[in-house]
Amino acid sequence: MTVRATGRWRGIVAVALFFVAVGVLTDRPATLLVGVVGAAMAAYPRLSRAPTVELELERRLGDRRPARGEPVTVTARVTNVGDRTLADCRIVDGVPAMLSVAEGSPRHAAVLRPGETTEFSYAVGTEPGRHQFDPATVIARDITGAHEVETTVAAGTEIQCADAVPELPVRAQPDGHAGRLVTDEGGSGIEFHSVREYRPGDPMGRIDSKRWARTGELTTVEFREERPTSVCLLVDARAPAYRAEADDRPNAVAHCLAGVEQLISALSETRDAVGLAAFGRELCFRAPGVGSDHETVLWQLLATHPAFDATPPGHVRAGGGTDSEDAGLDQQATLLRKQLGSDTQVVVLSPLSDERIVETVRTLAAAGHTTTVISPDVTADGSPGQRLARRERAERVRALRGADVPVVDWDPATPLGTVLLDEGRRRWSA
Amino acid sequence: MVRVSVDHRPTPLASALALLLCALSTAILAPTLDQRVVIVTALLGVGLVVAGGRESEAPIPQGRLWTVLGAVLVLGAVLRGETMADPRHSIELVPGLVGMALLGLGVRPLRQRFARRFVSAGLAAMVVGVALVGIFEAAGPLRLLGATAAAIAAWDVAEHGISLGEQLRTDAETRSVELLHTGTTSAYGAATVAVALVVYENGATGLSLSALVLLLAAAITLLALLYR
Repeated sequence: MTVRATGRWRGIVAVALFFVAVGVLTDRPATLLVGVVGAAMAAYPRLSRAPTVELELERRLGDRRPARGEPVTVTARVTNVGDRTLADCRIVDGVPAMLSVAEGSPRHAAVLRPGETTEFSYAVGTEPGRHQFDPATVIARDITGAHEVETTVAAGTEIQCADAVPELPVRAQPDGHAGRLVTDEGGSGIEFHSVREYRPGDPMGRIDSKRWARTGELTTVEFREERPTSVCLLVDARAPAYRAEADDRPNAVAHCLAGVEQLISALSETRDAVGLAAFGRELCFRAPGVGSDHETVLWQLLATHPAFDATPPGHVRAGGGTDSEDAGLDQQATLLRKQLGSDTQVVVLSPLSDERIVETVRTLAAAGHTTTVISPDVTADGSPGQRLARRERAERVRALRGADVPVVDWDPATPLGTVLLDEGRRRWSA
Repeated sequence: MVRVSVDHRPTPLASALALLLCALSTAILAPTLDQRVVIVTALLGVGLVVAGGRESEAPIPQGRLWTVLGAVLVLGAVLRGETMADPRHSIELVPGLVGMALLGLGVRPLRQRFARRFVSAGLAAMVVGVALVGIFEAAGPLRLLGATAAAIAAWDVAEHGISLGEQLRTDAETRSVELLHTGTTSAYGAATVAVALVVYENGATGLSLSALVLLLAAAITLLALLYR
């Protein structure tokens, strides 16, 4: 909560002084008297204090699980639970970063007596994925407008929008247990792999009985082994990653977070272990795991951890960072490598907006982690600078692919699921 | 992909109320029928300029047309005010009209960054008008006090509308807040005028001007110190 003085009445002191001066110099008592009104107006803000803000927020959604593209009506109800009247209460609802307002306004101002409730509604367009509302920002001014209190009021609300099934591109990897990753090694599974000579100890069910009946030879059928994987989703949320196509478009980190939410939803339906990590304000790391408890923890991390904030940190320095920030990234990457299990695949979500992240990804890959990059493309081609940024990003994508790290180039206008399915057909098909 | 241009203009209701208060302030200073007609003309003109600048959905020529028509009306009113038969009538009228025009440019606004400066300039013009009437006509306290209070209230309401527009945009529902704010400021202004008049009628007439000056100077010094 911030309390500040707006100082808007300060200039009126000058009006009072002006009238007094004019009245004295020209010997006009009536003009002098106007100075009294000026002084009284200048003292007006002294009559009230900064309001105490105690509010409760409740949001109702027209449809909690809408179909893609269908606008959802959001009705917000704000109740004054304090015991003082809020004469000038301005509310800006925390619309999820990925959603745009389709109709009405998520902003509202009202006079709230104690116990009174005000209600406003607006509609948001839906994008695939799970979207959490941010806390609403409240700015309460006293009746004179001289004091202003800024605070937030939260209500956990989320919209879930169905999407084409995103299938995470897990890559081939040695060793593991039964799961959905189809390997090139023979063993137990579903898909035929090869036939080999019987070795004592082979399970009876895998003996090719027809061949035995025909020739009397004992052979064993091998299937392609299927294993689960352990995946760590790594979000690049450093200051340089908060880039957007235009001022009113979601930034790349918001796209990455939406992507992560979709991937977690998709992976939780498989037996793969999912972990979560982020570079940014601070390193966030949660080791891969399975089960609904683990999933809950992941959702909580996404909602509350400072690294997963879709709004950029205070200021972004020109030039994309300073030495200390670079050191921060190196430190975070080293810490992450220490914590990551050696058989964990890493899926990096990054707009690839600078060279540092490319180096970090290559270091990860070189350390033996099977690494894939999903990169939302938020570059534009309006100005020469934007075209240069686009060209640089293309170079980085090429460099990563050259280093044997697959990069999924994701245009955020297309749902991530569709992009991954296409990509899978092209690249990861067996 | 729809690109929506963000509209951070001052809220319409507060803008309209501020202009009305401004007209009221000028009308208190200028009592004759001729002057009142000029004030209403100017108010109409400023209203058209403000509305013409806001009409974002109307085709551009139409918005421009209203703006030009409004500007012509305002200029005509100012010229008419300048050429009044009695020069004192001009003194009463012209600063108020200029103040109204400046306030109108502030809430239109001509430039987002300068909205507050235009509104302050409008208040300054109106204050100068009140001072001129006080000097050249030795007018009674009621007119001067009323006009000043209305001018300050107009400035306050306009500034409130600008801050609401900045924080909530024009499409938000803000009417109750604007009405309460306008009502409270106006009521406080009226009460101040009443108290000042009562004190002036009953007590201060016996006091010499120099004693009054000393008292007021002391009060204002105190005020200035408090604000430091």
